Amino acid sequence: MNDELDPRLAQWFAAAERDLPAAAFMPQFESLRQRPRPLETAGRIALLIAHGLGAAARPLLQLRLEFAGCIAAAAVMLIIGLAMHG
Amino acid sequence: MTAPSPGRQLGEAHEAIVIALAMRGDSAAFNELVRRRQAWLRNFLRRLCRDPALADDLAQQSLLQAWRSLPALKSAAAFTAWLRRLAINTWLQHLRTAGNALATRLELPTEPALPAMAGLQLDLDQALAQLREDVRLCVVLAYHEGLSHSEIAAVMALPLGTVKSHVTRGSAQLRSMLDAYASPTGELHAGELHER
Repeated sequence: MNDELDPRLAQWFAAAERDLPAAAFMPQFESLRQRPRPLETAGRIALLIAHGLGAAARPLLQLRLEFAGCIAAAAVMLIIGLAMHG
Repeated sequence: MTAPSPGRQLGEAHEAIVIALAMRGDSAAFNELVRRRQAWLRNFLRRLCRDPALADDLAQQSLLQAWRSLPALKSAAAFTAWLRRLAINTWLQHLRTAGNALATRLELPTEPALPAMAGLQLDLDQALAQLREDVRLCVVLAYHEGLSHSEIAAVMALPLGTVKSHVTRGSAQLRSMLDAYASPTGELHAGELHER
């Protein structure tokens, strides 16, 4: 069996081919292309939430860091004091 | 002497150049490709899914996918086969959504009889819609796209024997459906398939 096609069907397929104008199709496609992707939108929202949480957590973290610094300084002074008395 | 506008230059540019530009993210070049290929793509999808509005929707989805994945295309020469593959995948994805395959097969004609050429198209598409999806795809790839059986086998990842069987069986079914509505000269009568 070879690849020969039924000539009558081939004729019908050729006749059914239409010259579809691009005039209406192109603007629709362009607007679809400009539309943000759902995942992009979700990603942007997630990024905004993470940014907000980060901004809120930063002062708390800074406080804790200062607190940790005070404890470290006190610990050093205590060690030095104990060493001098010892 | 004035230089031709970029749009006009693109309109006259060789296809390989336009594809190469689009592959580098040139939006105007991709628009030019869409302008050149939209009729072919829409006709191809109309043969597959019968409904012109749905075919246009699937064509838009395929082209959007093409725009997003174009930088991954390895060679401009592969563009046509690649876009066809995207269109087929978009159609298959559509069929996989609940009930679509059955709906396509059972859908009743909703459009009125149209003038001669449109009637012929509706009849062919309606007859195609009666074929099983894999058979229809083989027939459309053979008759609309002009692919050989071995090319169809490669596109669909099917054994060559299966493709040959699908094309032969699908062609015979189409002939039997369409012959009943054709005049002795081979022309189909507008809308007759709907009216009977």
